[in-house]
Amino acid sequence: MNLLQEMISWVPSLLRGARITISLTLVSVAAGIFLGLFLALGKISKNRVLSKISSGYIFFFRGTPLLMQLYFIYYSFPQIHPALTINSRFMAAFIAFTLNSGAYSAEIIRSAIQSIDKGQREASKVLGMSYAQTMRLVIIPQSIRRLIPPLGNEYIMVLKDVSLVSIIALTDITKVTKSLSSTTASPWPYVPAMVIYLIITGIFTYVFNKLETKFSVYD
Amino acid sequence: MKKVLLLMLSLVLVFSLAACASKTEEPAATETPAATEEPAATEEPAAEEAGLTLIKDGVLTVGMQVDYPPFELYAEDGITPIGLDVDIIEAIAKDMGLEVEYVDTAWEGIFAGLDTNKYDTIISGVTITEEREAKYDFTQSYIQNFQCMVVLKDSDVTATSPEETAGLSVAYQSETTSDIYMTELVEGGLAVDVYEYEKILECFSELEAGRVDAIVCDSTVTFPYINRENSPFEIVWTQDEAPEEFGIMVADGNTELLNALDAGLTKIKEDGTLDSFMMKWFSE
Amino acid sequence: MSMIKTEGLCKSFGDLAVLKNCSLSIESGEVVVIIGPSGAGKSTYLRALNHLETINEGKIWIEDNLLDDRINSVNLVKLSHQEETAILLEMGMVFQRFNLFPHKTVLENVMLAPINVRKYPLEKAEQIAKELIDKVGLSDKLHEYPSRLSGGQQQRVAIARALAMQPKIMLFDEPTSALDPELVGEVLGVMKELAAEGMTMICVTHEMGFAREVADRVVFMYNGEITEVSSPEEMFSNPKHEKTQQFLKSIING
Repeated sequence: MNLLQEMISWVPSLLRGARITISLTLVSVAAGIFLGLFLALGKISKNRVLSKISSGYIFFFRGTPLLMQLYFIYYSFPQIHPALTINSRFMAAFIAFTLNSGAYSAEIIRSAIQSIDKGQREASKVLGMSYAQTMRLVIIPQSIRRLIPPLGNEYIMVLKDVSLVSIIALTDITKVTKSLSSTTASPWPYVPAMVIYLIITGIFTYVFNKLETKFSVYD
Repeated sequence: MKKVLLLMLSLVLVFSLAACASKTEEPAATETPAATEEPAATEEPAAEEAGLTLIKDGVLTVGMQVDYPPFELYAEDGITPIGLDVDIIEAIAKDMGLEVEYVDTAWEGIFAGLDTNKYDTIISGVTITEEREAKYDFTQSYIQNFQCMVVLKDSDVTATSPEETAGLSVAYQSETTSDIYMTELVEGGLAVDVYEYEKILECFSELEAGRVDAIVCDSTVTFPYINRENSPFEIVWTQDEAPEEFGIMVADGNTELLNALDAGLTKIKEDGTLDSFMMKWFSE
Repeated sequence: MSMIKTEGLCKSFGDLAVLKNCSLSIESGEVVVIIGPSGAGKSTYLRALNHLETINEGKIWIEDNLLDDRINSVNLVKLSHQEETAILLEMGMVFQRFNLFPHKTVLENVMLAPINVRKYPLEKAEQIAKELIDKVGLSDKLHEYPSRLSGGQQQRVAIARALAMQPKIMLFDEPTSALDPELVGEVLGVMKELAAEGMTMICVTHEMGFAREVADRVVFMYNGEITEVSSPEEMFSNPKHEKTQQFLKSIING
């Protein structure tokens, strides 16, 4: 079997790992964006308590390593109290990645919202719209176009971060690659693995470019 | 502002260059006094050293995953390695007139470090196996070890050996002999869910948290967990018929170092030092 | 009953006083034009009326409803949010930079507030919107996005959008200052029509021609104060205050 055939023989195992990698990335970032929206609105809200809580959350999850957060949620929680044990590795990873990505998404969203011209808020106000209506009808729709590139980037970052899950024995692409590499005592499994990562990244990039174009229709 | 930054950058550069310069100067300054003070003491080890190529002169650089009690672990200060392997290698190195420096390495891929000259030798609870002997050289064995299976005391797991774990989940440390054992069972068709972890500590955490039903690991490594106060763990199976032997590993063909280490091991076996170490780390 | 009445309006940003004791009364159907050098406080005065700026001291009445009675920035008038909004909606505003909603078409821009604030059904809001867009001469642009329109066209849409809420008073904050000269006329044309129809209007502007033609009164502000108020004829041919004279001279020469 030549090298190329060998690499192709590894692809099925790698693809099994890819299922975990891709699904974890997609659901975590999506949930994170949802969380981030609330955090962003909270942070810019006039309610001081809400604002401080949101800022504190964002500061904490951006200021501590994702690896530590994942480790703590999976391994340390059960030691604090048995009821905190998360049995499913995927669920534990999902929670850790969502909480973490949410903090980054919050800043992206907040920045996009605050970049919308002040005049938009003033026009809405003099037309009698409430804060909620202004956000829903005027500000957030305009923010979306500005969110797309940085959020697309967040997907691509998390795709790579997911490789950390090998520490909780979840078999993503990276863990499969490491196992293949040690069982075959060969460095080559990394090649098809990286190709797979690049293909996934390429697809994300393509999709986000299309989205950006779609939302620019009124420019 | 830019000027200040530029000044700071150049200061940093100057200081780091000065630090490098001073590092290469010091050893030269201290070597000659030592040579003149103890000519008698340094002669014999110097004779043994002749022919030994080490990565760093006067130092035995040791690769080790400092996370495998009671063989190697960190002392309370978090930076000093202690353990059975530490005691053994330091006793041997002292006889060779060498200092010891440890390179804490992740278990996965630790052997490759010998090929790339990251360290001279590995002592890290390494089992002597045929595959490993084919690529590397081992000293004689210094301790026997068995594969064993650990479960929770109050669990309803009825399996009494790894072969009976169909339908259960089993944890082990990746790239260990336990890994090889379980992987063979899985490839032979055993319907067991296996989970690989980078560290043995994680396996025990998982068992305690109830996320796996059993652990397959080295008997020697269970010691601190089984003997913990109110330990929830118990050993239900030991592979008595096939003891594993731990040895010290060097790169293939590094005969001089291998012989020196073997000689050192023989010495501490004969003069009771190894026994005293075992007592220290394996009795409570 | 006056449409708008202000008494002793004062506002400061820290140490800088931008409005000093501004008192003015505007009748129904009056067109009042506010002129003066930049930094005089003209826009601030206008924006204080509809709460885009908050005064520190003074009183504001809209149609005899006391909206503000502030001392030390505290409003002694306690209105519910609903009551306050109802009063504020009597005023519509047109901004220097139009502030149209770029993600909505012309029709959607004009319909948005009637639907969401007045809760009009779709057909009614659409009908009102189409009439107003026709009135400002842009029926052929109903489904265009603002980015496709010229500045003058955008401002006309902005006027229609403000009128859709059926205000009694229209506030114009330098409506033509951001426009290319050739587009100014179409916007002033709409404003003149509005005035002729009897809308109460307050315009901050540099367009003296408009003031001369349409204003009932001209207010000259300088350094946060209402320095002089008179009819356009009086103001332009016979200004009484030194500052007014200086300003008018500078306009003619500059």
